[in-house]
Amino acid sequence: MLISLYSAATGMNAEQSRLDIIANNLSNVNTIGYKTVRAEFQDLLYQSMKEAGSPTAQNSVLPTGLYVGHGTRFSSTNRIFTVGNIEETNHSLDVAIMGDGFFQIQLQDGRIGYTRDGAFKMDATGRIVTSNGLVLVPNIVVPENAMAISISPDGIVSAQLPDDTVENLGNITTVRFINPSGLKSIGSNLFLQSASSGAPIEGIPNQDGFGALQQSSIEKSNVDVVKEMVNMIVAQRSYDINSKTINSADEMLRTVAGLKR
Amino acid sequence: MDRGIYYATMGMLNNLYQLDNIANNLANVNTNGYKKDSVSFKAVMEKEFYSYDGKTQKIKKIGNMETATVVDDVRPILFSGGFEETDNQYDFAIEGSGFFKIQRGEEFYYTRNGEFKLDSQGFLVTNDGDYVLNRNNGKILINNDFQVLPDGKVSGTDYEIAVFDLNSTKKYGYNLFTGEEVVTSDFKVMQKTLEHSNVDALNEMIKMISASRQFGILEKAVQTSDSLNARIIETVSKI
Repeated sequence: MLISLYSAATGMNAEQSRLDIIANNLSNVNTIGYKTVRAEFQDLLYQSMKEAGSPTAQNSVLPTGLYVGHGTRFSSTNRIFTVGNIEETNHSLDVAIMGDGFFQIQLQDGRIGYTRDGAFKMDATGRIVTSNGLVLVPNIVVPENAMAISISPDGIVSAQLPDDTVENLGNITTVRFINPSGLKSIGSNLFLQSASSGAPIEGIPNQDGFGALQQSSIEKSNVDVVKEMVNMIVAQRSYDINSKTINSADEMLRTVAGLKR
Repeated sequence: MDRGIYYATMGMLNNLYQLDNIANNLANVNTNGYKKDSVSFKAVMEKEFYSYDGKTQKIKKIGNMETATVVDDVRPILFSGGFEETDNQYDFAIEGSGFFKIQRGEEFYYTRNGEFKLDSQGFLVTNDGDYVLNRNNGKILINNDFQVLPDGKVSGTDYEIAVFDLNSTKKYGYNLFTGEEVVTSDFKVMQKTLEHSNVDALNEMIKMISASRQFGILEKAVQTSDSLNARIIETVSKI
């Protein structure tokens, strides 16, 4: 059957995947620490019917060849780690990273997960945890009688006690990756290390290129709604156009079938 | 036997081929760095026609007739697609002519698609993990904060992203091209920018309509030829 039918189908498939990704971005437009994902495409291999440079006569060769392409493929989803807008809150355990870095979170299965979502809470024993109750690494325990907690830009957590003394509770460290886009997303705003992300590099916030911590702030999602809407329009129209190719190919095939009466 | 039926069929095959190409272009309307293909046709099998004039007893040349068309060639059209600014520092586009040089295994390829990433060691790679090369055919190691100047130099390092123009450009697929390197300076490397596909959907749609209409018309020609043949057979069988 016609190659065009299949090429158009690959185009429709790609646009559909693109729409799936746009939908996910848009639904996470208010997710703290969410990083937008971009769909990337490649053309497929070409089938060559006549090679450019093959001889046509003595001393003359074909200047250009004859080939036909096979459509497109969805080649990668690229997570873009730009910093989202920082919004101030009044909650002392909201921490935003102003720049590069991830918080380390102890997962239930013992592995370490990484997140940019710094909307922390306290559990019954005073430990600092995520919204899902997973514990922040390094562990920081807030004493029961603490009046106020302060977190410095370089990650020192201290509590003000009723007798007006300040107790140092420990340091929040963050990690960086050579290639954060290579991290594996596992949902719940968490990422895992992967073979392509590189090993985590631990460091003190606000030093050596690590982003500073800002207390009482959260990092909003970096999804650009206008851009996503435009992408959505483009994806839908392209889907439409590819379906027209299928129509056209179908019509031509019908004509072929109609030749024999 | 009437030849028209064959000539018309050749035209129909061309239309099918053209549709295959249009389909590929349209499928890649959102592939960054994609270059559209253009098909051209040529007339072949030129024939000379003569008539014999009984009065003067001379053979007179009436003229030439080109009796069939075939697909002549397909070539990528290399003009730039539109540019889109992104916030991603690993996105690159080339304004002007030129391609990024890529190493895949032992082979070199060229691409206009600048959706680069870092690998786990911090080298600049493409979507498929192929290394983006510098002027000395080496890999490019990059820090977290880096800037690329319009001439391709990576600020703060000795690296210069390799940009070459190509002669006898051929498509390989996966956004890659092959060809003979030509040194060029007529380019500007733009960071945080991507180049869109240069496929113009409107243009392709019009070509598609024209191909499918032409196909319909040629089909009529085939059918007419066919019915003429039928008439001939019918008439002859009565004799």
